[in-house]
Amino acid sequence: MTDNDSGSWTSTDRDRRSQRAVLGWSALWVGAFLICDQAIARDWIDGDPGVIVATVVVCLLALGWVAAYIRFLRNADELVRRIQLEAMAVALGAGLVSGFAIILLEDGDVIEARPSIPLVVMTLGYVVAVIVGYRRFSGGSS
Amino acid sequence: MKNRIRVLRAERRWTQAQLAERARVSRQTINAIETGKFDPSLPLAFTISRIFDESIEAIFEPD
Repeated sequence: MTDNDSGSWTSTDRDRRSQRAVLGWSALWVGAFLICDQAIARDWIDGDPGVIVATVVVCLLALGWVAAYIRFLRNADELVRRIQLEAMAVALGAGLVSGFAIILLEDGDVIEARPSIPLVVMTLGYVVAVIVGYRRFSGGSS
Repeated sequence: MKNRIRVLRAERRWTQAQLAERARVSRQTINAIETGKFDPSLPLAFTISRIFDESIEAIFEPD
């Protein structure tokens, strides 16, 4: 009996297809967001209608990402689902804790309001929790 | 939850990857179940019991 002790994560074909779809939609969404953000900052998009159209396009791509992520969770191996669930709990907690902390700091005039901070903390929390989760369960057999 | 998957697998000379393929899950899922890090869902427990042709009670038992 020879078990694979490499520790590398194996996925089913269905998992891999769903993962690729999530990665593709993530790239589209983040790419569109960055382009629109820069375009608005550099006044390439002028006036409210242009900004609204750009925002709607980014939101539609985000909805595509959400749909792909839901499909990924439905198709995922149940251990992957558990890792994702725990990562989402960490992300939600990190977002709420940092968001409310920033409200207090802003109320006390310690910092200026930065709505992007909780989003960054939430994203980092999710990414770290996913990595930790995969590492926790990626050990080989004894 | 304790289980006899490792023993049953060894009797059949199957690797974790081979069992995972039959159960349509990742090898890490089988490894996590064997090492007690992860309790399988009821459908997966039924699948595993069908693969080994044993009852669920004969494979899994509560701690």
